[in-house]
Amino acid sequence: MFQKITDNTIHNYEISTPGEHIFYIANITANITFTITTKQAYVSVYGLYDGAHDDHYTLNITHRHEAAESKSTTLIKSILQDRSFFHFTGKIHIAKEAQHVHAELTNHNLILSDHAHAISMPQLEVHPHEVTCMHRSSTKPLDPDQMAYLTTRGITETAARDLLITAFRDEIKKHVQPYCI
Amino acid sequence: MTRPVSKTNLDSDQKHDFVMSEVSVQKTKRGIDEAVIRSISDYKNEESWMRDFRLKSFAIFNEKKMPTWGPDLSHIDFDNITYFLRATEKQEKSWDDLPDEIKETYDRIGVPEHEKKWLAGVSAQYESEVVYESMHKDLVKQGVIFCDMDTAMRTHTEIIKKYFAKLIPPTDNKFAALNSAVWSGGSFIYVPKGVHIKMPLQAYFRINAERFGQFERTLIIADEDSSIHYIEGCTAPAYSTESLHAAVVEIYALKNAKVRYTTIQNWSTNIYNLVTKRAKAEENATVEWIDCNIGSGVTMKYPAVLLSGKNARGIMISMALANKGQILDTGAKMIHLAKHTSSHIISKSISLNGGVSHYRGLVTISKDAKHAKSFTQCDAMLLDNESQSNTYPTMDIKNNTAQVSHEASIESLDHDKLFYFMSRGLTESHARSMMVNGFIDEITKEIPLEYSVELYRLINMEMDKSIG
Repeated sequence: MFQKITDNTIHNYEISTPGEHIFYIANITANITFTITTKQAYVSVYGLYDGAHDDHYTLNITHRHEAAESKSTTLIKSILQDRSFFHFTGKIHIAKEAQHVHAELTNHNLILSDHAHAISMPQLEVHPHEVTCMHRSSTKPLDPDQMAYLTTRGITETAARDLLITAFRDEIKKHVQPYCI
Repeated sequence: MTRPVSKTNLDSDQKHDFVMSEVSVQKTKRGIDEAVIRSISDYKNEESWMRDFRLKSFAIFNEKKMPTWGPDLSHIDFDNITYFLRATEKQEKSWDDLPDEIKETYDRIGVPEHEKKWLAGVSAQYESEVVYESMHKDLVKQGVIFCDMDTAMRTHTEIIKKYFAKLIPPTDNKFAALNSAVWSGGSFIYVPKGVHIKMPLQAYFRINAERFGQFERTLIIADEDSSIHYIEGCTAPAYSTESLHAAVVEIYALKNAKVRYTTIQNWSTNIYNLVTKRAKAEENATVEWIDCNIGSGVTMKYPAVLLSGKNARGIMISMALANKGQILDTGAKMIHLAKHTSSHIISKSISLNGGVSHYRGLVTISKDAKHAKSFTQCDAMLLDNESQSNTYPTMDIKNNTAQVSHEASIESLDHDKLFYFMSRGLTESHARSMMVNGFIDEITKEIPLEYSVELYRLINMEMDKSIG
């Protein structure tokens, strides 16, 4: 199942059927909760934010694992230019009875302007002990080593920059492109 | 299956949990009001500016609300705590001159023995005030000041006025306000320019009385190009009633200075440990917090470093072992205010037997902190289904040259490894202890050997409790 979430609002999804459930989010301010109530359910959430000018986005995602042997993967990326602002909160909550859950949450922010601003708050709340649960977050500019590599190969600085931004974006696109874009 | 109990564990178990009869030469009534604060000020014969500071802080304490987040603090009964208890008439320079009860306490803990072997100086605080203090003569000659805060207030007033409560004002939080109102004891250290103290200075904090509040204040100033390692250890006997430990620690690492502050916290589980610790690192300075939390019923502690000078560095290495009935809410704050500053946070927590551990962290990169770097690694181990582990980091980045990254994971004990150990003849308890000690190896290798041995013993003891 694939779904693109497009509304700036509060969303509550109950995942009650086994199998893969893929969600895609882009440039919305939203508060989204996924409650996984069945075994063998696999939820993937991909989010891509392109911030420019005075764009201001807030994204809150909560995964509530209430069933054992469920899985969730979340990858949220933002590219922030000009005066844009992205505030991400991602919580993984694993209930006591939900053993053998595998949950991962990743947030990468690319800051391209000195006036852009990112806040990242990945959170874990874990009760059972037989789980694998992790989150990671990074906020960085374009890698100067990669820029140097490309420019020394004759690529202009602008083209090198575009190439690296495209590569950053592609990690999300490769997951959702077969379904929507 | 019967479980063999090692002698080491028994030794360690009994080492800190003993009660001596209460000794007091001066003591305030239970509860807190302006009269109690005036009494503390009178006992200490303070100047009017400090008395006014205390009274203003008390007003702030009354105004401030209890924290609306974190562990439940509603059981703290501020009216049922003794806020000041002076155990001896004067501070001693020799262990032999201390009252027998106090001397025996420190003998059993092993403080004089450690002092002889490997410490540059020792301060021992019993209840509200420091009862013993000593420092190597060489350091005195070099101009190092190591004394309790009450003495420093009288003898080094100007320097105190310059730094005291500047990093952590009473308005910071409710417990900093309470500490500012009733503070007593704690350490004052000044390391002059260019002086490197090679051996650690140690302070030992002991609460013996029941329903008691210990509110020490520590101020460390490492002048330019100097270095110091300060270690604090905390213990108390277990009572069925709650006691409160609300300390304030302020550290200034001036240009090129290096300060390492190590805490081995092993309060009994009736203690609320609500501590505010903050350091300021100026140009090229380094501040390292090494924080080991094993005891207390509830701990809320988030040591911070304000990286205010270029190339300043902040390091936080912490571990927490939350056993039955304990909530250890610990973390770190790194505030990057200048260019090329860097910070590194390593946090390891273990929850067992229904214990709850939280990591709560903040990394802020200001607009001026160009090319700042920060890395946080946060690992938690859950040993059973009754325990809980939570992680709440925040990263706030306001410029486009900073590199900030964070990783966290929560895992259980690896059954394959456990099986391997047990098939080689180790008991389950021993195998689990070894795996937990391996998990926190990064922390134990950062603290002096004597302490890491003690930490190893304490962990074995806690692990034994969980199996038994």
